[in-house]
Amino acid sequence: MKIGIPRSLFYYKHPRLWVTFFEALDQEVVLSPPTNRTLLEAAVRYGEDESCLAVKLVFGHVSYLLDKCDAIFAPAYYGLQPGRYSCPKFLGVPDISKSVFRKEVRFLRCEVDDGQFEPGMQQLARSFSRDQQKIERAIQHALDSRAEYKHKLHQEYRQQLASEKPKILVIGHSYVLHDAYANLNLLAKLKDRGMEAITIDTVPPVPHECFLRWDFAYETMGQLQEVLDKDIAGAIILSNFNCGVDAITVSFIEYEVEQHDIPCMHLIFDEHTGEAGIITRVDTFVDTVRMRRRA
Amino acid sequence: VKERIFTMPHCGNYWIPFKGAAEQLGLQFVVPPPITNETIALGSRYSPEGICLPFKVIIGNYLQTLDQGVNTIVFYTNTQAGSKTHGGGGGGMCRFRHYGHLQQLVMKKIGADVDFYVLGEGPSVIQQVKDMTGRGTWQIIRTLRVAIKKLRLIEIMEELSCRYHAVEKHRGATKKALKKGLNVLENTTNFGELKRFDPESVFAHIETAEREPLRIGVVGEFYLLVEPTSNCHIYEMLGELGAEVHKHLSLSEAILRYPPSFVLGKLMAWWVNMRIPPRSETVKIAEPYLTCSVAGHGRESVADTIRFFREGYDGVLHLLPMGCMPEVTVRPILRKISEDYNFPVLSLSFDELINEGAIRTRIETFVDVIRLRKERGEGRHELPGG
Repeated sequence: MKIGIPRSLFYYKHPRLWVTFFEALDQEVVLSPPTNRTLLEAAVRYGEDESCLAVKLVFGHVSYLLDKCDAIFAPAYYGLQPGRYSCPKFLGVPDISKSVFRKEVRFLRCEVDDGQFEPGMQQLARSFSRDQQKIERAIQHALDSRAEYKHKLHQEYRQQLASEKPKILVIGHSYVLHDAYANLNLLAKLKDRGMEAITIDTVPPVPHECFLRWDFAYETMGQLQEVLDKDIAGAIILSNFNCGVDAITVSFIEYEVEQHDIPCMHLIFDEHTGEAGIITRVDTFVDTVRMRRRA
Repeated sequence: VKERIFTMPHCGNYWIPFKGAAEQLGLQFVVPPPITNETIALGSRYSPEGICLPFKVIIGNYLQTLDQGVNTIVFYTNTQAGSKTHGGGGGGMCRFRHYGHLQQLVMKKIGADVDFYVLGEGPSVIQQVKDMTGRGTWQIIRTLRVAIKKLRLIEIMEELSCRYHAVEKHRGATKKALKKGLNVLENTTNFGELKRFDPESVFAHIETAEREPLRIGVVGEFYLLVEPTSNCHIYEMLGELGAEVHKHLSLSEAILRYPPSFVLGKLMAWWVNMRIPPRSETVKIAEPYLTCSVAGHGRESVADTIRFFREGYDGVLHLLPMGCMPEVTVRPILRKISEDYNFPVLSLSFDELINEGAIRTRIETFVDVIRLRKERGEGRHELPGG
């Protein structure tokens, strides 16, 4: 079977996991290309106008995959950690696709609750194979690749910390940080200006108590505890316009960053692709950081 | 010990039972001044930009009470009820759950010296009220009984006023009657008296015209449904245009659907003598369109739109604050339902910049359209797509 995976949302959180899983089960995986002009236009067309850009983009990517595969994979992430939960807009994607594209779209679901991947994967895998051993192997393989990816990120983090350049912490959902087209190449822009951009998802998580219930918010607050004590020159928060989660968490993140006396900038993205505004703001921010370091 | 002066944010006419309960428990209680554009502007100035409208209005409420010496704020968000798979306001994925914490942060940043009691965040609401007031369980339950009964009577009166408003002969008669009725309730503290109170009698004297009103169901986000200033007094507009309105949620319904605890839920249902559709039924009705909970009352909005259609309503209004996570998610689905059933659904989202004129134009057009459809007897499909 040909399985389409939209390169958006959860893909950026677990880029290897699902591809490895399906390939280990001998299924063909079709991955939508990185966001581009055409996909963005489709996103604007099919997405609900008050959704955030990321949720609109899912529909752009799904529209690309519609006639290129037999089923589209959209996991239901109820919660990636015990007692936490993800954004409700993600859960509705399959149901809403039916309403938006006006036809039966076959979706593969895999429910992940309290960070437990295995039960859902077991169930999903059984629709492809009866061979229990093969299923076990595929699951193991997939989870390994996820761990490996995490390990790679943490390694990157340690390397970046050792760097001489001024370090800028970039905070945001992984699907905002790594969708270069949607965030107007922000990471590259920082690099071009001689900054070391540390993305928050590379920071090893710290277990902690927090009232924030969203996966992203909870994890970020922990990571901040780890990273803010290090030599960080500035922090940039990226969010999408009308992101419901960020409307609340950004206030707390900003508060936390300000407590450490680190300059902080909040950039909000939507489907506009003009870069002039962003360049001005990044330039100013980089200047501020440099001046503070000299002083 | 500093003297505590309490307040609670506005939410429609529900300040009446809250105030009554606070006074019965011997608390000093300040009702925030009525919500105006100024309140909303004030709240928006200090709230995070992307947060939903109710939050901004609530912050505005608080700020306007500060000069009356308020130093303690009571807020209710039910984090025990609802869950990831069921939705519900406080317990699920909706932002409402974090309202309490964010309010505290915002007030702290402003520099206001206020304490918060966020009821429903701890394991037991009764225990929290005990800590807050220093009263015994029995007295709290008795007070609660009066408050819940009052709350329900207010809801029934509001519901009736919508019906009378659409057919009244003399404009304004219903509004006057409702005000009078609310006044009576405000001054009653006795459960027996409340039990004998007949909401119908409040409107009995109103002369009605011989015309059949249009019937419009309203679904959507809870606060927008019950707070008329946040929705530009949409029910009054509709009433003047000869349409009666039926909301899919009221506070007692919202509480009963996701009660703070099993026992309290049962008690409340008994006091107000009211049955709500079981959750399994809602899930079943929504299933062809939505198979999972999208937090808040998203699934209820989908199911109730279909319910309104089946009960022969002429149209549905969907109200939401801009960016509301659950309601934005279900909006494409409501659009599809509207097409499938050939049933008018108008979705309106509100933020702090909305003006009444724009809403009025859209409402008038909507009412014209459904009236025309009704006169022409335009087809109602019995089956989706059929």
